[in-house]
Amino acid sequence: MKENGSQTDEARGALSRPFDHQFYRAMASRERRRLLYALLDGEERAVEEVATVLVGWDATESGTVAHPDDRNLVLLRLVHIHLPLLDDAGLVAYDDERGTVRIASLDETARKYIEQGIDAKPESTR
Amino acid sequence: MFDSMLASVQQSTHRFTVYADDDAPSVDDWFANHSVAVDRQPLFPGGPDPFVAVERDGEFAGVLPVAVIERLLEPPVVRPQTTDGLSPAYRALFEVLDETVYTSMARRELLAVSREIEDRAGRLGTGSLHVSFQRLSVFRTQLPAYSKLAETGVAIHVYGEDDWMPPAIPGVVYHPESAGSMGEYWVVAFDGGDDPTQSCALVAREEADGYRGFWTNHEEMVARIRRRLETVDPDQSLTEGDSTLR
Repeated sequence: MKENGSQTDEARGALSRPFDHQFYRAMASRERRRLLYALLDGEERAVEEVATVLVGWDATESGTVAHPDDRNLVLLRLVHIHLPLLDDAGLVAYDDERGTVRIASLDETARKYIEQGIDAKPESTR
Repeated sequence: MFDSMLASVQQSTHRFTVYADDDAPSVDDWFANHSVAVDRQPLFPGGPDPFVAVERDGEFAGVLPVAVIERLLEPPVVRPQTTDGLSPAYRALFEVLDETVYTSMARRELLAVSREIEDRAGRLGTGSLHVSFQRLSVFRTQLPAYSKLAETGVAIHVYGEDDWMPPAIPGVVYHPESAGSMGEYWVVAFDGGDDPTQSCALVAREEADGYRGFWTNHEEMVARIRRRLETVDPDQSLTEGDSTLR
């Protein structure tokens, strides 16, 4: 396992069996796959900034313009669905008080899976 | 003629953040030329294509893919048969960049905005469209396009220095002027017809290094622009002109 800081031991625990139910569930959503991919550089980011990147990703893919409502929806999904779920799975460290998130320490297998998952067919945004 | 208007339009309160790879071609320069503050955020490889996030008065106002902006600004302005793809982007760019004074605007940018205004007038097929040319002879190249536009039912008023006698076209009124007051301006204004919320206009002045100007969707501002134009040809009431053409 790589030493990429040591956010939580739970994370290591979860990812020592990287393809468990929680991991699959985390990776089942395109938005969550993109979120994880965007955080892979290890930087801590404001949740709003992450939302902007996800909205931009959608907009560039569809060649359309994203409106404020689009980002509000993404923010809602992040705060109420994705981030708690990924935090529980030990994949990110989400600080809901400060409104920031960063990737948890991942083993190479999980990292690779996230990198490859980004090209997977878009099937769901949830 | 429009100088005081140019001066009164506020400087931008928009904030643009360009998300792009470090080596990606970028639209930063375009924004910089328009006196708009630009931040830059690196994008990770394998992520989204470059895009621009817009804040207005501190509030998130939307995201524009760079490809869409470039498509808007690249002549010739290609319009798809359906408006689903491009129209929202055009509309958003109007909303987002509304009433910002731009410096060093390129001619192609003015053309792109002019086309949007003309298209809107054509889609609605009502109301009046006021267009100025430096000289009336410049209008020659626009005859086919404007003949078509006039067929939609839009009343068209063309202004310009009196150096050519354009052919009569049903629906088009010419306002030749000789005082030289129009020559340096590029003006396109549409009043929205029955729906003033569709009002839109572009005003630009030619300067040594390009154009300085703004565009607007505000019906009040568009009405002001139209009133200024009316002073060019005070002998000919625009209302009369409209009615004789139908």
